Amino acid sequence: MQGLISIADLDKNKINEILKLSKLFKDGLRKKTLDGKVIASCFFENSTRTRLSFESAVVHLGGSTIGFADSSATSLATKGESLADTFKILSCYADALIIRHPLDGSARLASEICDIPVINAGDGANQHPTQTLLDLFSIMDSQGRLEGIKLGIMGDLKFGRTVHSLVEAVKWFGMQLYFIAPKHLRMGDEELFNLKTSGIQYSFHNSLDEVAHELDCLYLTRLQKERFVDEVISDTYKVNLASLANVKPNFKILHPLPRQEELPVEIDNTPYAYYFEQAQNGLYVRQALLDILFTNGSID
Amino acid sequence: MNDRKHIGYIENGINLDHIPHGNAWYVMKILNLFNSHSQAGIGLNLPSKKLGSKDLIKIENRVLTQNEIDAISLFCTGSTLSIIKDFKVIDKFILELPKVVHDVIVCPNKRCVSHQHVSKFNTFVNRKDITIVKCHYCEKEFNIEDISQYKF
Ligand SMILES: [Zn+2]
Repeated sequence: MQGLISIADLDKNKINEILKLSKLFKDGLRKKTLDGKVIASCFFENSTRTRLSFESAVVHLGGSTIGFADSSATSLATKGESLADTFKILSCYADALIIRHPLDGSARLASEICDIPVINAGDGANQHPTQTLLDLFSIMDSQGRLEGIKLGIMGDLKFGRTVHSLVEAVKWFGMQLYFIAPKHLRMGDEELFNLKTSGIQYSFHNSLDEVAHELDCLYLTRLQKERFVDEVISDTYKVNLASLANVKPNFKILHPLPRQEELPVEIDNTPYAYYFEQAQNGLYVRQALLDILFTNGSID
Repeated sequence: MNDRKHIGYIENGINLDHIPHGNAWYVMKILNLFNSHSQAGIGLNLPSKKLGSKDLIKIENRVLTQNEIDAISLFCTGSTLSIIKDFKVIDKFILELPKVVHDVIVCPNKRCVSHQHVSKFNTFVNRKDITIVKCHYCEKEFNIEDISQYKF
């Protein structure tokens, strides 16, 4: 039984199937697919919102969870056991494993070692596929479609993990991308080349003001000050009320949260703030994923 | 003829010719020639029409596993591997870039889980004709020229 490790493991049909089912869950669908199932939720590093979202999804589907929120509270990290052995042991106690681990590739390794399906809830700087799915779902649900969406992506486009996965998935849906970032934090050449070969149009911009009036959605990333040359430049990549003066009525701001200064609380009371609903969408997407996994026996 | 003059004949074993100049060292390390009892002839910096300068390795009484061939091929793409029995070449093929290499490359990503387990890399040639190796675990891609550590 195959879980989900990387967004690249999914094709367009599979993504669409997950998004459609997520919408049904959001609209009130109740299922007990996980009745009698035990899901291990193993967070080797702390990530409270992702963990609670997953665990809530399990409970909504009638399942139970076991696990831990931080491996420093368990004997796993301290007894010198190999990671492979740890994964093997965890798979003895549950019907599926949800794993978050600080090392890149750890979820792939777990999936090769465990006999039960593994869902990646973030492996270091590498992948966080349910975040990408909930980002896509949020664009779809806030706009009613994915095809042809004009999506601005602002901030650190070079190092931000969520951005790379989102861009990898966007290639299926013919969106138009507006990259708003300083030159040194732009996306890499290979990634841009892949977008071009997928027929995705994109453009570069130095400020939100240049393009705000054209956008359907703005995806904001966490602004890590040390990556910007100076304060003045990093200020350019914050949202403020003035920059939203001319946006379209359907315009929505998305953010993976937690936020920093790039998204001031004054934006929360505008009709453009979608990020809290986006976080809630994570619950529906994770329900859909688990439901497909246990109904079909596989995600892909 | 020139090579034979330098290194001599093989009765049973393998002859690896047209190794890119400087890469014989990798083959010696991968096949652990320094710590084995196999007799081997090593030719370095030999003249070659095709490569300008090439390396050459002949090993007596040695067969190669597929994993060894894959590992060698990473450094010897385009080289000729001949299998020799009773002084005759009974099989001969050109080494191609292996699609997957098991446990040869040390992932340059310090945060990669492969450091706690085995390494596995997929390879491909990109549009600029550069050989790229991609870590199966952390999914990062590297120019083969930038790989500096190996597991041998
Ligand atoms: Zn790696």
